[in-house]
Amino acid sequence: MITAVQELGKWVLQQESKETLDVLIEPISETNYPHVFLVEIENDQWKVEMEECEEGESHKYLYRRGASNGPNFSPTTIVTDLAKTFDKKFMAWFDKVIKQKANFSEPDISYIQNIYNIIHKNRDDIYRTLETKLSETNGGCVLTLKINGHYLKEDPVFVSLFTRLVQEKDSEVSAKDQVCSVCGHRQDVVMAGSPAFKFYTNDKPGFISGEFDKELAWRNHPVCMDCNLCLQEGKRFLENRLKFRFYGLEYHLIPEFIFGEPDTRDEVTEILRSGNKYKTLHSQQQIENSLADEEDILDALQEADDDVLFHLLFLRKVQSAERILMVVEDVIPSRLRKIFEAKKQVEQRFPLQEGPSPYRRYHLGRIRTFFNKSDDNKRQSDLDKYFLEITSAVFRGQPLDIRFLTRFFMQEIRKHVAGTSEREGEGSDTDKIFHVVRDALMNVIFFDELKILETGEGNFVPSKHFEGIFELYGPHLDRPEKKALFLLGALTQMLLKKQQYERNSQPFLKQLKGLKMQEKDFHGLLPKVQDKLQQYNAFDAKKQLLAEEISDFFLRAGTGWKLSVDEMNFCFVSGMNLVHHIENILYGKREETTEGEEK
Amino acid sequence: MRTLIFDIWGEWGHFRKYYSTSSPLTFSVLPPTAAYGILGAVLGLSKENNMYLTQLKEAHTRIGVGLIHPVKKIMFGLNLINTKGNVWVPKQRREGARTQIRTEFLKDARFRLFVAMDDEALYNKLVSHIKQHKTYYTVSLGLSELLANFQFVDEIDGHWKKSTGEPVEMHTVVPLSLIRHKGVRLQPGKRYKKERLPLDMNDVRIVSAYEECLFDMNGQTIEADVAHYYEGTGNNGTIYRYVFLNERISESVVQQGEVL
Repeated sequence: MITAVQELGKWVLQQESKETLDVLIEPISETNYPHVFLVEIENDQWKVEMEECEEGESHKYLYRRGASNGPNFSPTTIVTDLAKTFDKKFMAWFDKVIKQKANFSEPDISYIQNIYNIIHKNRDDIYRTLETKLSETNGGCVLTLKINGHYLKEDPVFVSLFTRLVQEKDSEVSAKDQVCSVCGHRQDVVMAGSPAFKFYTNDKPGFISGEFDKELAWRNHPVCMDCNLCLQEGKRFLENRLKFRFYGLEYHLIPEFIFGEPDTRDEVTEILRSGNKYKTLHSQQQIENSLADEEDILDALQEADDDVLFHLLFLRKVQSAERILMVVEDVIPSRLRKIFEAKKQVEQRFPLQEGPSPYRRYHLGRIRTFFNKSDDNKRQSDLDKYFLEITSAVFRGQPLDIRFLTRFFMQEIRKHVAGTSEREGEGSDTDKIFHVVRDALMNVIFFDELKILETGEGNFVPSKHFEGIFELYGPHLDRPEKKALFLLGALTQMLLKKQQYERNSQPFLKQLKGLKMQEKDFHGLLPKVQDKLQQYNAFDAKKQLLAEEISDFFLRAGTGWKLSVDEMNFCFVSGMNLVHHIENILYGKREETTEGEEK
Repeated sequence: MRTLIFDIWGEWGHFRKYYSTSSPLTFSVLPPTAAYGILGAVLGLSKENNMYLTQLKEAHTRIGVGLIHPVKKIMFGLNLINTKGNVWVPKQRREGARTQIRTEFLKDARFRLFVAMDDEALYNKLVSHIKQHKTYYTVSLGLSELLANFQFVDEIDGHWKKSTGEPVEMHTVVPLSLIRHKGVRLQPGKRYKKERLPLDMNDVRIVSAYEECLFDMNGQTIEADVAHYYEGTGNNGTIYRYVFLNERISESVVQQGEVL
């Protein structure tokens, strides 16, 4: 993976003919820091000017962040609190350079000393002027120098000192004449890792294998100066073009070329370069455009040859370090094609009557619905781990157990059921249950299409009247007891609809025990539903036919089902959700369904 | 050249990628640098002053690694002791005594090692130990907690072969630099993967060679036109073709293979 980033960086450097200095300088965001204050020094005179920051031009300020409590690599600094920034960042840079004067050439030091003297002499005036100007501006500010009309990047002394300081920092722990772990070649100097990725750190002795000696840390991850530049540029490219948001998480899409055929390389890198940053699988803002958007970057990439692999690197920033939450390695374009094909298959089973698209869109957000927060009152999502595991299983083709999934599906479904029971008669809440159950069903079908769904031991018993529905919507209904539960769910829903129609409430919902029913509860539910329907004079011949089939499946299943409570109840709510399909078969398409459409 | 073939496997494995410290990732394949330690444990060579490395290198130990099981990786949290600042005083640390680090592991990993040595006595001792399922120290897959088992597979007489210009079935991972241009016969159902592995280290544990290596993530063989390799027939008639990852490749040999 690290080599892939290095190769990407190398490609960008070649394409853009960037020089070393350009890589070392960090761009300044004009959105976050729209104003630049320049302390202009000209012939022993000083003045403070302000100009607008332009990100594309910001390299002229020679900015690169240093340690959080020390100066940067040039006097250019971002102003947080002027009192602190002025002394600890701006002036401290001069102090540091003058203190280390033995490391620099005599003319350079006297040049710097001269500038320092002017600023030092007028420190209070400069400070007050800056303070006044700052109070008149809104938004983030940058503080820098301009010497005799030249920006810092145009001043050879500052450039030389900047380069020197960066190199010095990089090679704090280094060795001569060793093999670089990134390019594999023997190099004059190698350093301990690259600052490009913050998940390589050696701040704890346990991280340094072999005697825990920090001086020897370069042995763990030796990186030569050229590779360091490429890695930094590669990381920058990833940050700017290939970082995507993904339901509250962030990931970098890293391409890797197995055999490095130039055509594939250029084609894919160009797609990545021109891709819209926020159009991908499913950015939160564009949930409707998700996964299958025509301009989706993965959609575009699925057409590439399998000579290219993609790594999805999910990172989380923890202070200044980065933590890898998950790496989904080696996603090949043919796998992407499979995923998009499965998505299409799912959508075709859920047609919409209205709206621009004939089908209900499927995206991984439908999985996130169930794997976000275990409790709505939590501030942060605590189910990221499971969500990432599932995402990884989708991309890698690893199996997912239905029992694991139904636990979380039912957790979410029950939340809505509880809400509805408390506020009887509110139709919109019932719709919400339908949406949640439908999302769960879509997920199950999606996983089944990808052939990663594990449902345990099956026992196929065909249904007399409803096998078509089971084939389309019931990859998880592979045993007679599951089919019985599904059909019982449908019959129960017919009763609930009847109650809603007759009394504008659904008191029978209470019989469903908050969808925590066990085997014996389901056995007892069928006569209760039948009895209630008879009381409403609604137990017609068609419903009798359905009840007969349910009984038939119950008898075939026997007792002692090897199903979890969640699994049983999920089969049941699946039937409740798809009741209109059962009604269509029983009554033809006359009867109206109450299923609400997603807004 | 006599070559010992044996399998090593375990429920879990972790061979940390050198560029990940605070979020450790694992290599997909057991790197030869880790195999040195395994051989040292089987033979009972001392770890004092890295003696095991010195002895194995003096014996010109050559190691080839093949994958037998598909590569499965799982991430979960490990509770580590917080050692920042060189001291561990749990009650006095503001950030807590322990820290949970998400770590990537190999699940149900099984590798096939091909080992040859110039030192006949040491080699015979190794073969005997492996055949008798005997070790001096417990072997593990990367971390001491991830215990491993091993089993003798075969012992063959390997012959050095040069490329005939046609792809051949290879039983070990192959460095890309040994594969001729467009020399991989891509087969459906295989998941090709290249990974930069540390191939060799000197006796002070400084890695002296890193290379991109090619293999199938499903744990099957790959077909490639390899500049040079070894070939030998096993007891049951199986023909093994393999490369030693840590073998010093002389300049003349490198010239035969074109870098991809």
